[in-house]
Amino acid sequence: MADGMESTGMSGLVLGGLVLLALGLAGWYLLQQQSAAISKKSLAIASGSSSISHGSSSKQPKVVITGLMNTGKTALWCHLRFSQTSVKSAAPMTQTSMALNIAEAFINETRALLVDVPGHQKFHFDRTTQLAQARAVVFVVDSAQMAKNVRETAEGLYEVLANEHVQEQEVPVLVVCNKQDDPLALANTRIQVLLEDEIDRLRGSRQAGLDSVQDTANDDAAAEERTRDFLGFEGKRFAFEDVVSPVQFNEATMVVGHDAGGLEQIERWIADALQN
Amino acid sequence: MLDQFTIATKGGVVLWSKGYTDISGNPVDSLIRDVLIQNTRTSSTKYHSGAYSVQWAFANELNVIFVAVYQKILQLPYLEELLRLVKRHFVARFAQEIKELIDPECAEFPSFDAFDDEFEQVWRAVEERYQKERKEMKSVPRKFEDTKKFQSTAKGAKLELEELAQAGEMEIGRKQPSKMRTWNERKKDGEEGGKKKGAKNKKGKENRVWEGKMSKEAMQALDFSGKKDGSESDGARVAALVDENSKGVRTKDGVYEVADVAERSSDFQLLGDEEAEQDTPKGIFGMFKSLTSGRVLSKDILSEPMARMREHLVNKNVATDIADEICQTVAQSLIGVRVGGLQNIRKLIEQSMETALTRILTPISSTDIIRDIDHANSSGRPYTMAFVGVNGVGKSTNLSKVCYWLLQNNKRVLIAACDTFRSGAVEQLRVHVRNLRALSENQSVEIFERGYGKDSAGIARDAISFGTSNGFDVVLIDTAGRMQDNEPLMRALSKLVSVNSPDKILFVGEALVGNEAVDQLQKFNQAMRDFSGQSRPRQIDGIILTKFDTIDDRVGAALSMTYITGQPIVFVGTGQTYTDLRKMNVGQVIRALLR
Repeated sequence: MADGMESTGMSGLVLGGLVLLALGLAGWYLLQQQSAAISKKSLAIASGSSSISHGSSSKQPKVVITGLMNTGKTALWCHLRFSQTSVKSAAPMTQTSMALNIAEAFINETRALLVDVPGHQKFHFDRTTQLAQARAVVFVVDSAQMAKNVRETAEGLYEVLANEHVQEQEVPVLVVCNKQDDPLALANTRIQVLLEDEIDRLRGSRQAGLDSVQDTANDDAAAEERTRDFLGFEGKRFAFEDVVSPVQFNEATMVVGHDAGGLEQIERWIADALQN
Repeated sequence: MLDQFTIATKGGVVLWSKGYTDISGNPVDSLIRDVLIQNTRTSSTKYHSGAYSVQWAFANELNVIFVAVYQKILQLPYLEELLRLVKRHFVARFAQEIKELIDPECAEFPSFDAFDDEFEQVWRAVEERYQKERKEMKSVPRKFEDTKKFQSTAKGAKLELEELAQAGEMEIGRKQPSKMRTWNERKKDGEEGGKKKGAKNKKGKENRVWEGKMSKEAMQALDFSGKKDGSESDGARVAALVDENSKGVRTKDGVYEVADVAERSSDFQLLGDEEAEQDTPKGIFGMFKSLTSGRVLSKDILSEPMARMREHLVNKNVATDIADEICQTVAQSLIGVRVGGLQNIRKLIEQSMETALTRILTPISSTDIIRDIDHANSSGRPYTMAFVGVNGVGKSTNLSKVCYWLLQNNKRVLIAACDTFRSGAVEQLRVHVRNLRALSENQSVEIFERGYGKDSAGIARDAISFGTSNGFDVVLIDTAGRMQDNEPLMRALSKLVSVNSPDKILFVGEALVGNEAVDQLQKFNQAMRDFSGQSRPRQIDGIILTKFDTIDDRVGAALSMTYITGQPIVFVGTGQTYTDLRKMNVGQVIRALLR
C-alpha cells in the first residue's frame, strides 16, 4: 500500500517534471522565434539584405522595381509608398542607392511589397534573387538618355525577361519611360522600337555565349536553359508581344516637389497585376 | 567653406540636405558609385571627385549615411569632428522617425526640416572651437630655445653639450652594467650610511651616485641588455602566450583542413554562446531581457570571428592583404548592428561576407564579347584582343581555345604571333591553327607571323591592318610571357598596347597563384600606366583564369584578381582541349570560398 502511494507520488512528480520541461521548451522556442525575428529585422535595417525574404514568401505580393542607375527607381518607390497621403509633393529627393529599399504599401487598396533594387551593376545579383519571388516587375527607363544607354538598357530588360521565374510564372513587366519632362525625352513607342531592335541583336550573341563552369555535369539542363534564354521566335524579328510575360510601356515623370505624372496608371497597373 | 551636407538612407532617400552653393556634377553620387558600392578603400574616409572633396560617415544601426562636400583646395581638418557630432545629434533627435521610415505602416514621409537650426549650431560650435585652437596655437610663438638657431648660440651649444654628456654617461652606464653592478654591490655590501656619507662628503661623487640610480631606471626603461637579464621570465611568459595562441590555430589548420566546415562552425557556435553568457546580466529577468532585446555588435565582439574568417579566406588561397581588406569592410558594415541574443554571430558574418563577395565578383562591365565583336565589325574594323601575362600561364593555349569558340560562332579569326621572344612560340601557334582549321568546316582562321626578334608592336599593327583589309572579324594578339619585374619587356608590352590600343586587354593568370596574383596585376597595370606616355593609359580589361580544374575549392585567386583590378573574369580555362573554356560561375566560387 505504502509502496503504491509512493509510486503514484513518484509518477506525479515525474509528470510534473515533464510538464515543466515541456513548458520550458515551449518558452524557449518562443524566445528563439522572437529573437530571430528581431535579428532579421535589424539585419534588414542594417544591410538592406536580400536574405530577409528567403523563407516563406513566394506568395508575397512582391513588386520589383529595377532599371539602370539614375533613372528614377527610388523616386518611383517613394512616390508609390507615400502616395496614400494627401500631400503627394512630400516625396523626398533621392540619390544613388547603395542598398535595397523594401517597404509594404497599399496601392489602390491592394497590398504590395515594393522592392527597389539599386541600378549599379554590382547589384545584379540581388536583382536575380528578388526576381525569383516577383509577382510584378517595373522596369524604369530614362527617356532622355535612351539613345546613349540603349545597349545597357536592353541588356537589363533582356535579363529580366529571360529570367527563369519571370518566364515560368509569366510575370507581367511594366516599362516606365521616366523623365518625360525632359525636352530630349523620347516617346514610349520610339523607346519600344529601339529596345526591340537592340534585344533582337542581343539574343543572338547571348546564344553564342559559353557555358558556365558548373554546367559541364548536366549538359541537358544547360541546353534547356539556353532554349529558354531565347526570347521571341527564331527567324522573326524580336517583338515584345512574342514574350510569354505581358509587357507594357508607360510614360511617367518623377519630379521632386511636384505631382508625379503618370503615377495613377502605374498604380492601376500594379494593382491589376497583383490581383491576377 | 562647406558646399553641401547631405544625410540620406543607404537606399538613396535623402533625409536632409543643405547646399551652400551650386555644385557642378554630383560628387555624392560618384562617391557612392565608385567607392562605397564597390567596397574599396575603406581606410580613408576622403574621396576626391572633380573639384570637390567628399568626406563621409555611417550610422549602421539606422542605415544612414552622412556626407560633406567641399572645395578640394580647402583644408577642413575639423570635418571629421563635424561629421561625428552631426551624426550624434541627428541620430539622437530623429531615431524614431528613421525607424518609422523602415516600418511598413508608415505612410507619410517624415519631415527632417527641423534639423536646419541644429546643424547650424553644431557647425558653428565646431568651427569656433577649431578657430580658437588655431588662434591659441598661433598666439604662442615658438620659443627661441626650441628653434634650431638657438643651438648655434654659445648658450645653446653648452646646453646641448650637457645634454649630450648626460646621454653619454647613461650610455656608458648602459654599456657597462657589470661595473655598475659592482659599484652597487659594494654599496650594498658596505654600510647604508656610507653611501649617504660619500654623497655628502664628496661632491664630485654625487653625480655618480645619482647616475647609478639613474642607470637602474634606465635599465628598466632603456637598457635592453638589462631587460634581457631581468625580464627573461616575462619574455618567456609572453612567448608562451603567443605560442599558445598560434598553436591552437595551427593545429586547427594543419589537421582539419579538409573538415574545415564542421570545425569552423563549432568554433563560432562556441564563441557566440560565450558572448551571450558574457553579456547576460545576472538573474532570470536579465537573461530574458538580453535574449529579447539583443545586443549591439562592437569592434571587440567582431574581432575574433573576423580573424577566423580572414584565416579561412587565406586558406582558400585569397591573397593576405585582400583578405584583410575585405574582412575590415565587412566588420565596418556590421559595427552598430543589433542582433538577437540567440542569433549566431557567425551566421550574420557569413551572410554579410557572402553579400560582400558577391558584390566584388559581380562584373561591372558586360562580358558579352560576341556582342562587342558585332559592334566593332559594324564600324568596319576587326575586334582586337591582346593576351598578356607571365610565363607559362597558358596564354597561347587559351588563345587557341577562345579562337575555337569564336570559330564555332562563325567569326573569321586572325592570330597575330607577337611572341617574338621565345623560340617555338610561332610554331606552336601554327600547329594550333592547323588543328583548328581541321576542326572547323569553314576554315576561317589564319596566322599572321613575321618570325622572331622583331618588334612585336609593329607586327601587331601590321596584323590589324591586314585583318581590316582582308575582312577578318577578330584579331587575337599573342604576346610573349614576361615577369612583371622585367622592365624592358614591360616597356615593350606597354608600347604594343599604346600603339595598337586593342579592344580588350586580357590578363591571363593561373588559378594556382596566391599572394603573387596581386603583385602581377598591379605591376602589369602600373607598367601600362607608366610607360605608355599617353594621358589616358589603357589598363587590363578582363581576366582569363586558367588551370581552374587543378585547384579544387581553393578558388581564392579569382577573388584576389577581381578585387585588385575591379575587372571581370571573362573566361575560365578548365582543361587541355579546345572545348575546355567556360564562363565564370559567381555562385559556385562563393560557395567554394565560404565552405
